[in-house]
Amino acid sequence: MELAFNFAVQFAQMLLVLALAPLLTGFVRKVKARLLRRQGPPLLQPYRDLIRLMRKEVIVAESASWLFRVIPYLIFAATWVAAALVPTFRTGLLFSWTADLIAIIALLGSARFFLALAGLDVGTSFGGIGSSREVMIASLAEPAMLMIVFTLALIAGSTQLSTMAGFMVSPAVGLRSSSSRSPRMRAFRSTTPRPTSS
Amino acid sequence: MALLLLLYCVVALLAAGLLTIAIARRPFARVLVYGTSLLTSLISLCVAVSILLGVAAASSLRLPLGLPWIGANFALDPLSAFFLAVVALGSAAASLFALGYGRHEETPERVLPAYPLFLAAMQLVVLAADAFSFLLAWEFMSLTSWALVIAHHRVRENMYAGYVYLVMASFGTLSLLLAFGLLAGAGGAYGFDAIRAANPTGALAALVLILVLVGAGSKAGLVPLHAWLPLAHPAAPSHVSALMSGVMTKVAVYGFVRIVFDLLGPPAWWWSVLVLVLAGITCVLGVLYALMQHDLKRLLAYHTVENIGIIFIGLGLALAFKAYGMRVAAALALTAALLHVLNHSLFKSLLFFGSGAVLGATGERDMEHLGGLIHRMPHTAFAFLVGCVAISALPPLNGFVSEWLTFQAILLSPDLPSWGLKVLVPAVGALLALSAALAAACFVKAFGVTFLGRPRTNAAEVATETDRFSRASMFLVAGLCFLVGILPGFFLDALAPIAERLVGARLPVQSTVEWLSIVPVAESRSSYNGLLVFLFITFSACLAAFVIHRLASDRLRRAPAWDCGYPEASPATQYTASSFAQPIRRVFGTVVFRARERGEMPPPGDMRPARLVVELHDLIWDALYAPVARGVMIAAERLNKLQFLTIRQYLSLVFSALVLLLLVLATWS
Repeated sequence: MELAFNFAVQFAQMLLVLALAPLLTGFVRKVKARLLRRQGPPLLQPYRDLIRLMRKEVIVAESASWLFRVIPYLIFAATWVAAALVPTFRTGLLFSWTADLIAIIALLGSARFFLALAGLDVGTSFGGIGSSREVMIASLAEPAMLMIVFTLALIAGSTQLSTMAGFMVSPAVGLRSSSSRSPRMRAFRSTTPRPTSS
Repeated sequence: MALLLLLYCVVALLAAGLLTIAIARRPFARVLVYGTSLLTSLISLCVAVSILLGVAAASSLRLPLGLPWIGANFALDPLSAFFLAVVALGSAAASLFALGYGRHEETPERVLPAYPLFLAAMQLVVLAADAFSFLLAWEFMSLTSWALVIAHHRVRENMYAGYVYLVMASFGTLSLLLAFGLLAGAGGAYGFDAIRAANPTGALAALVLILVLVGAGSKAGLVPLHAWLPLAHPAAPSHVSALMSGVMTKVAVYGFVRIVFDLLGPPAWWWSVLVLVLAGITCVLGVLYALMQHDLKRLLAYHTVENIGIIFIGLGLALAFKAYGMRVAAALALTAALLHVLNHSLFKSLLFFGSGAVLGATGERDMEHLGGLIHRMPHTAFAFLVGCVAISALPPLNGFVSEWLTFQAILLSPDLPSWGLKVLVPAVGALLALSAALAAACFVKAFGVTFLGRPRTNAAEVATETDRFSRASMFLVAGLCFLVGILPGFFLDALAPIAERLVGARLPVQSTVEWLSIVPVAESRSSYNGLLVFLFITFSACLAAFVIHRLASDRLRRAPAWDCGYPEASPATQYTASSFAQPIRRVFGTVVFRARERGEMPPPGDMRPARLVVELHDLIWDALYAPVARGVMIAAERLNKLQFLTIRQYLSLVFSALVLLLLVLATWS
């Protein structure tokens, strides 16, 4: 029974991420437009675009290989799996221990890897420009992302997202002005641990 | 018993090599040599795996060869068994590949005799248990691989590569010779057991570490001693390139691990600083060099430099943790490094096989002349793609597992008491992350330009799929990459006895963790399950494909690609390898390579084409090797005068040398 419930929660989480993702795109577009003092498309426009695109036929270049047909699904799958492991409304998801934060970043990296390959597949210069820039940005962004993960992981002592999230909402972290109650901070200040009750 | 079987295999290889000198031109020589190599490698692999799994016991053996007072000692413990397994696996795959690929060989008499000798030498290095046999086997390995590098000796570059390789190999062996001399001491205790019992520490051990870092590091390709590697590895025939890059560099890593972790006493903390700094620089420089190449095999060779950096990061961390007595952390770091040794040998062999298949089908190594091969060589392309994904450290393949473990070891660094290391280790982690991201870029380029797009030359257009043996070998290795990626727990367990022996602790047993996850420290800390990640990705991709095809439109139309209004665009308008790497060259290359671009635009009316010239400088070569070479030249010119002395002057030279030596002897005690 509990297993079934856990499955349901995990699946609900995956569906939630999937359902809300276009909304985020719509929001970003709206904000960008507003910053340029434009009206911007409606928030729900990405949903409409998706439905329209679903109904259309697929047009593939003559020089494209099988890879070009497979890659969209691979990118979607890698991104979706990465999203499924992020606790959005509940920690300790059923499969959260399948991969930690480093693996999630690597999954997103796989998606980008295949995206760049798809850009080169047809053999036009535009695809090449796109994938060349994509990997250049990725080669700078991914280490930066991993550094952020390192910072979090070094504080939380874990790369497991559930543990990290649990640690982040605990009262032990956050800005503090005077003497802290966190055992970790105390350990930082004095090398000899004081005998305390906690 | 097991050891004796292995030595028989080595003898069989030696015999095959010597026999082939006579019959190398006959058509059956190829089948004989590669068949024998395949068979003996498989036997060695079985023996090595049985030792690792604890089925057969470790053993040692002494033969009445070599130096009279110590003989030739051979031993098989878990560490040498693991490296033997790597050597044997790589050799078996390369031999299988060469059964088909060897048909393209134009000068078989230069390749066939040296090939089994090279395999035998590598096996002997990992089996040797005294300094004399070790160095002898090491030199033999260098010499036979040199013979293979200059197999195509009519190509000028290859002779140059062979020359540089020979100089660097002698230099490396000299360092190792001195290191063993220091370890053996005045008494001449050359056996590994005797050295281990002497337990060298202090300044002596530090000196040995530096010498080993130079000696084994130059063979493995640590920056700045990597200069020979990208010249020599691509020059050899492709299956030998695979062995040199995938396996011989690992033998060098074995030399380092054996001496530093096993023979030397407890490490000092600053050793790890030395190793980590060198390794971090090696990582990033290796991949940046690789990104600048458009010769496929040279790109792969430079990438070996990067992976050696990753392995040495693991080893450096293990040294740091061992120095402070953090045994479990040291075991984690060491296991990560050893797993990467296995992984790199797998995917680098695979990629070199792929480049060999491309070379055989098109006669081209230059990526700028290839393209579109995925249509004409679908199997090779698929296997190569698996190798690319694996080496780019993307889940769920094997490269990711070992890099993930290395990251986990890096994240244990806050527990280190030394502040220097506390700062250094995360910085090295940043370099590792940077090199992983750049590696992905590099292999998008390698695969995309070679196999995707449209063919750039006629050779690429008429290429045909490679032979059955080559394909079988590539798929076998690709399958192993996949297997290590999704079931890493079993491989980690096999490495546990080595860590136990060298750092005094082992990782928790992984194969009993539920769902076959790997949990290096504790589940609340980190865990990874390659199998489930793979299943999830497959399931999600299938689900997405099903939903799209069923519920949405599944109509498909093939149409010409948008040509920007210029009909019949030439394949030359595609992105090339150089243009693909241009943004990264601009970001990193202006500093690291002092890259300069110069556009030459002829004036209006002039019919000359415009040109873009890119200058790259190898700063390490300019700063380190060029001055040394110049110094040697100057010294040689000065000493040249010695050839034109009179007989009196020669006699007085001999006399003064004698007096000098006597003086040295007199003041020695």
